[in-house]
Amino acid sequence: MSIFSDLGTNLSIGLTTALTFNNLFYCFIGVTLGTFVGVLPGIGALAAISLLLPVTFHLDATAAIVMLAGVFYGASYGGSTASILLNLPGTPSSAVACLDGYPMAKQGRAGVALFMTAMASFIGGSIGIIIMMLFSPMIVDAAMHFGPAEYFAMMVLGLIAASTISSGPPLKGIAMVTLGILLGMVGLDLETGAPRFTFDLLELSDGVSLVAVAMGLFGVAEVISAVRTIQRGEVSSRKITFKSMTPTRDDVRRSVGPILRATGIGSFLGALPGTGGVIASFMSYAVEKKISREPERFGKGAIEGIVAPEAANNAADQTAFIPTFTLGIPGNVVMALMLGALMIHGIVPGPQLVTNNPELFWGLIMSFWIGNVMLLVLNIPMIGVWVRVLAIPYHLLYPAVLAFICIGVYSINNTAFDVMLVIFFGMIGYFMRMLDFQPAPLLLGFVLGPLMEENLRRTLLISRGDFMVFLERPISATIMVMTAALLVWALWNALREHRAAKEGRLRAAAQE
Amino acid sequence: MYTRDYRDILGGLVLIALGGGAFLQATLEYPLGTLRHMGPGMFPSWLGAILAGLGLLILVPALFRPGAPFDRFELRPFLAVLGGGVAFALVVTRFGMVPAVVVITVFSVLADNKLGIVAMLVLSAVLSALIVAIFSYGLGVPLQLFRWNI
Repeated sequence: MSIFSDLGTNLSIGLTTALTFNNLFYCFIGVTLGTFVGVLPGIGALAAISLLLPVTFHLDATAAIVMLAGVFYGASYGGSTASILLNLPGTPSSAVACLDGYPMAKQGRAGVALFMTAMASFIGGSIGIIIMMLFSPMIVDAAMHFGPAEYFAMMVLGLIAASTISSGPPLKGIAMVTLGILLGMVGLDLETGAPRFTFDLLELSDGVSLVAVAMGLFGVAEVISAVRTIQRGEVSSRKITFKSMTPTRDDVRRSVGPILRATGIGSFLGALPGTGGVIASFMSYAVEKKISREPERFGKGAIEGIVAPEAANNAADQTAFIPTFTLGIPGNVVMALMLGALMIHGIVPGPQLVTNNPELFWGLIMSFWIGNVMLLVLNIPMIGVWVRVLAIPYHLLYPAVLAFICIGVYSINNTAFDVMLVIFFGMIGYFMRMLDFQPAPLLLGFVLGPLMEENLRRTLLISRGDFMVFLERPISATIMVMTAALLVWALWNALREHRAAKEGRLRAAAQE
Repeated sequence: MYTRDYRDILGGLVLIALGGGAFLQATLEYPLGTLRHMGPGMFPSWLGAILAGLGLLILVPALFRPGAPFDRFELRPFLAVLGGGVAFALVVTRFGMVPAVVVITVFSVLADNKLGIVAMLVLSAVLSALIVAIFSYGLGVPLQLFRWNI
């Protein structure tokens, strides 16, 4: 099999890249920062990656992506720490870990819970990486035959999936995606050079910068709404000793099955568009509770209830990179930021990325291994540090976040305009929040918008303006049918909820 | 509870205005081209129309259902944070990076006012030092720490 001999070459390319001092250093910075923001409720991977985007301008592409990726999967490790010790999820995907993690901490088993979640995260993450190594080359081979019609169809599917499956009403999600694509149109038209929606501002002719949108929506807006509302819990156990971390034989025996099943669920959902760590963690918890012989233990400190979601979300974090790097289609908003960071460095996402920049792609995968080992060290022997990090009050943290945002964006071009743009998007982001609109689909649309237009133009040029081409080509037709099914499902759900709410009101009115 | 869902009514109206505006701008100002050779106006005009349509779909049902009241508008953090950003932009080009960091720290502390003056000054000094260390020394970004350019 040539796949395996290729794999050997690829691995050595990857290792050579990942083991350079520079990349090791940025991998370490990434995972440490990821654990840090993961541990802290109120700042998540999304905000941290937005904050780091300007820094990547000053690094080479591989180091930049290695660092950003490290923040992403590192945050999943750290997220469960706050769930267990504070009953507050550090990241959305570790929310489920509160259900059984906090009861375990109250029973004095916080150490075991922290140890087992770190192990589960490591196993889930490792299997996710192996799946990525095996499947990516196959997808790349298949994608070589894709034309612009297939790409356009996949982008539509990805955007619809991301905006309808994620939380929030689907109509609002789709509206935000559309607004995001429109925002992506700002600037000079790539094909004709005509300025669009620039409002005669010279600074906008290159388009709205991704950094400004991401920082405004996920940094500034987040701070405004969190300053006075963020809650702080009591750390339930201050001292975590090595002895208290040793799991019993029973703990280990109970964990093996759930970790493996959850890894399967996580790996599958992670690679699909629109789903990801959050859904994977909830689903794997539900599955374990359902198939357990003693479901009554769940919610009262069952070890299965913390290892399953953690294995699932770490596996999903790794496989989420598959569609992003092999096809250039990000399945979630963090992946969209990764793509954005690549494009900042002039690297076009898509199957050519793997063939043209093997050192970037395989170097990144190898850095995942290194990063996961670093995370194991950071999260088991050094857990005491993170317990203390939990005590950092938010009112010392958010001024630092804001200062970093401003300096970061200013450092890119040395213009005050960019800072103003961040502030503008911060304002928009806060208004959106007030009106219950999600910022994530907007950013996804913004990143994919220009690529969509380009592929649509090419498709229609080849087909001489005939739209039927999307249904005549088998792959794009399949994707289009899936998109349509998803839309129907979303609308059906919205309608059903609307009816249920109406009936509820009528019943309430009748009782009065 | 309100008798109508004002949150979605407002949201729908804003989307209709944005979508309608984009549609008009794209169709009137930019060449549409043909389907085979799409001009700069074609794709944005579709998007504008879709956005306005979605806005309508969000608006209409909201007129006929009760809605929850708005969340509290955090006026003080809103003004402090956004004001701090604007002040940063104004200061950084005139006086350099360090004064700008001090200004943004002071403004953002005002958002919740949990720190006293001394703590605020210590925090801004620490942040300035940290940022100089990361950006100037760590990343080698040429940023002027102080300048005089009024």
